[in-house]
Amino acid sequence: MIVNPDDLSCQELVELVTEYLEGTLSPSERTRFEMHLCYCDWCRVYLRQMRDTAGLARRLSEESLPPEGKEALMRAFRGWKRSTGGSP
Amino acid sequence: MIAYKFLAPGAVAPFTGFRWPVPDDGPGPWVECASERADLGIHACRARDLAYWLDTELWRAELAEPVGEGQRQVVASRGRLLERVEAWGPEAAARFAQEAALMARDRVAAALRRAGFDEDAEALTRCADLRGLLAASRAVTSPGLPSSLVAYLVEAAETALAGDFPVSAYISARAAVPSSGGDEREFAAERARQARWLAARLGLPGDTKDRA
Repeated sequence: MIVNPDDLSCQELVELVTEYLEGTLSPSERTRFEMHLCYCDWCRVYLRQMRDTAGLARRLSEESLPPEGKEALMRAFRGWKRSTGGSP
Repeated sequence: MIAYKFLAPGAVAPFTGFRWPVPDDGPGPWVECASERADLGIHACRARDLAYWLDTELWRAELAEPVGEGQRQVVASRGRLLERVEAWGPEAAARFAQEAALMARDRVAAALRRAGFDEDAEALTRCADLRGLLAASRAVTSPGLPSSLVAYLVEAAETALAGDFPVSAYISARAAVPSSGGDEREFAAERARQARWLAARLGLPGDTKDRA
């Protein structure tokens, strides 16, 4: 595959978004990431959504969850583990 | 050194959301962003890299020495805005996107001629604006190389007509690669040419270590 140092695909950006938000990308990767944002509205929206989600998640604590919400999440996780073959 | 910053409306940094203090009767106040990492800080670009960072507003900025060289950008721990480049606005952006699309058209037409598709090439070169380019590109129906190349022109024209000038200029630059037979270096070469066009049209001086 030809990798252009001045270019990045949307898929690559999605794979790198967590590291970008955490500030752990290499200088070269960060630059390619931001150059991509200059011409890709969809990835700008995606990045904004990820930022908002991360910001909201940081404000959540176990105590802030209502009991019924907590139980629904636990059920979902148990079901997900069973469906993916993990131990319950 | 004097460099350039593209910003979102309201002098907002597009990636961090930082609102830059704008000049008022003289240079704007210095902004500090010290970091142990050399690649972090106040970023700007040289005239030759303008095409990579397009946004709504363009500002002339001063970076305090030492200034580090990054990929397509320069970085310093202190910077300030000097003045807005008033020549850059929606009209200039539209002209820029059209010029880039017509350059892509020329490259595609040359590739088609080399491959023996003279009629398709002639049809493309007859159009002189984006609407004409869009119609001419859509009319090319020869399978294989012509169809794959004009797809770039259709997208470049459509996005420019929709007002999405950075996307259009990017697609036009991407078209340089398949038009050359797959040489990825042509993308950077076309971006550099776009930047020279921008600098000339906006009356920006060349890249020198101009100290204010």
